[in-house]
Amino acid sequence: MSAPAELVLAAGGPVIPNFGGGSSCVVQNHQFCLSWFEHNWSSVFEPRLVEHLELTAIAVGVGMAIAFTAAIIAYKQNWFETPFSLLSAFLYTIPSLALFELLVQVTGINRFTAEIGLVSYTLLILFRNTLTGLRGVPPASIEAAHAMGLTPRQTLLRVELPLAFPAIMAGIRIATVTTISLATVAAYIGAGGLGELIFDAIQSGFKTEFVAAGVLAIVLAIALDIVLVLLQRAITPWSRRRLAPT
Amino acid sequence: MAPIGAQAEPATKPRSGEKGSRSEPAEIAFRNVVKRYPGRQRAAVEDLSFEVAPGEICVLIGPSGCGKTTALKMVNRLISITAGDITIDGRSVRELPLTELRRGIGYVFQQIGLFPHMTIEHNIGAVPKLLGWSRSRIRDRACELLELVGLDPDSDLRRYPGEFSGGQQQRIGVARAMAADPPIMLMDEPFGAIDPIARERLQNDFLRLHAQVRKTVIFVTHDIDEAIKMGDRIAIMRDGRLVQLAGADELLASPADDFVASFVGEDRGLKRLRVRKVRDVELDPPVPGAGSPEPVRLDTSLHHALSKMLAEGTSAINVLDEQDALVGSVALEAITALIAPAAARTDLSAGAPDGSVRS
Repeated sequence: MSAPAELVLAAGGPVIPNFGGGSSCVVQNHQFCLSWFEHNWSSVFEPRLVEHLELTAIAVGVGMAIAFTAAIIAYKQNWFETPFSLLSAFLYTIPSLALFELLVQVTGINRFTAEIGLVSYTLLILFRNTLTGLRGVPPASIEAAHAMGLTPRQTLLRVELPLAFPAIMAGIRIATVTTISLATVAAYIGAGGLGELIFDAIQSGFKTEFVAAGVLAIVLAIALDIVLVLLQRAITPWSRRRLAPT
Repeated sequence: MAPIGAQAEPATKPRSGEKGSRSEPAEIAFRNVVKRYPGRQRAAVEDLSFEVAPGEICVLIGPSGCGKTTALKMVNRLISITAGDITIDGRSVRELPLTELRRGIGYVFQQIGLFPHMTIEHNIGAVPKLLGWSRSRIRDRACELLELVGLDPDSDLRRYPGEFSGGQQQRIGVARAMAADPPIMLMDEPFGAIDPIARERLQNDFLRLHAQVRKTVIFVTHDIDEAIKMGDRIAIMRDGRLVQLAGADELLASPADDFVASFVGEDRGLKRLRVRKVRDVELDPPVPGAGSPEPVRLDTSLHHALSKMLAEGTSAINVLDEQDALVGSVALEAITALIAPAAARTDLSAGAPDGSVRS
C-alpha cells in the first residue's frame, strides 16, 4: 500500500479506528462488524453502558424523589397541583438540545448539568402518574381505613400508597425508557454514556460504532422495562389475582 | 360493662379458644343530636334522642335523605356532631381519642371497602395489628372469624379480596369489623349491594352470629323487610327526626302516623305474620288424618304456616315442639284473631285525632 492512497482515503472517507490494521469489514466500513465490537466491548462499550445506566438511574431516582413529594403534597393540598403541573409541563415542552444549551451557560459542560436536564424531563410523567394513582384509590378502602382507626399517616402508608403503586410503577417505566433515549442527547454536553459513542460515530462515519451504541441503548431500555415489570409483579401480586369468571 | 377501648390492652384479654364475644356489649345513647351542614337550610339530623340497649340490634330506617346514615356515622365520628352528644356506656364520643373510639367500633358498609392489596388474613388483622397483637394471635383470630362467617380459613386466608364474590367479600367485611372484638358494630346498608339470594343468607348468618356474640348493633337500611327481620327495635326517621322507635310487631300493629303506616307498607298485616311465631297463638287440639299437610314447628313464622295452609287448602295445620312431639294445631281463625284487634286499634289511633288526614 502506498502512503498517498491512504491519505486520500483518510481525507475523503470515514475515520476508521486502528487505521490500516483493521479487518476488511472495518476497512470497508460495513454496517456492523461483530469482531470489532467484541474486541472493543470491554474497553469502549461496557464503560459507556454503565455510565448510561448511572445517568438514567440518577435522573429517575432524583426525579421520583421530587415528583413523589410534590404528588403527596398535591394529594393532600389540592391547590398545589396546578402550579407544579404547569412547571413540569413547561419543562417537558422545552426542546432537549435547547434546554441543555441553556443549562450549560449556568452550570457548565458536565454530568451535573446533564442530570438537571434529564431530571426535569421526568417530573411531569412521574408527578402525574403518582397523583393519578393516589386519586384512584377506592374511596371505600379509605373510608374503611378511617373507620377502623388508622391515622392519616397510617392510611397513606398502608393503604393509599400500596394501592397507588401500580400507577406509580407505570410512571417509572415510562420515565426510565424516555430518559435512556434522552440521555444519548445529553452526551452533547459531556454527560458521557452511549450518546458519546453515537456522537463519535456521527463525526467519524464509522458505522459499527454507531449501530452498536444505538442498539445497546435500545437493549438497555427494553431490559430495564422488563426488570421493572417483573419487580412490579413481585410487589403487587394482588393486582393480577381476580375472581375467575364463572 | 367494659368501657370502649378496653380491648386496646391485649394483655388483659384471655387467650382462650372459645368462639364469639369476650367483650361486653355497650350501651349507646343519642342525646339531642343535631347535624347541620354549612349552607343548608334544613338540618340533616334534628334533635335525635334515643338509646340502644347493650346487645340490641337497632335498625335505623327511612326514605333517602332522612339522616339515618348521618346519624350512624356520628357514632364513630366519620361525621362530626354539630350539637348534642352521643355516649357509649356514658362516655361521650366527642371526648374519646378518635383512634381509640374507632378501634372499639366495628364498621361494615355497603361498599365493603376491603383492602385489595392485602390478603384476607391481613384485611381481618388490620385493627389487631394496630393494637399490637402478635402475628400468631392475629392468624388464630382470622381463622376463627372466617369460620364464624362461613368461609374456609385453610383455602381463603391467603387469597385476595378480588378473588371473592360480593357476598363473600361482605362476609369478610363483617369478620374484619369484628376482628378486635369491639363491643359495638355500625352497619350501613351492609347487604344493600348483594344479590337477593346471597343477601338472605347473609342476613340469616348475621342473626345467628349475633346470637353468639351479642354486640350492640346499629343497622341502617332502606328496606323495611330487612328492618323487620334484623331489628330488635326499629327507628323510623324522616327529615332528620325520629318518628317512631318500636319493635317490629308494634310498629306494624300501631304505626305512629300515616307516614309510618305508608312506609311500613299496606301489607303490614301480612308482614306482622313474619315476626310472629306459631307459639304466639293459642293452639287447638291436633287435627287428625293423614291428609293434613306436613306439620310446622313452634318457632315457625305465622307467615310460613299461613302460606302452607293456603297452598294445601286447609284451615288448620299441626304443630310440633322442639322434641318433634305433636303439641296441637294452629287454625286460620287463630291467626286472624291475633292480627285483627291490632288492625282495628290502628284505625282508631291513626284516624281519630285528625279527621282531615283521612276522608
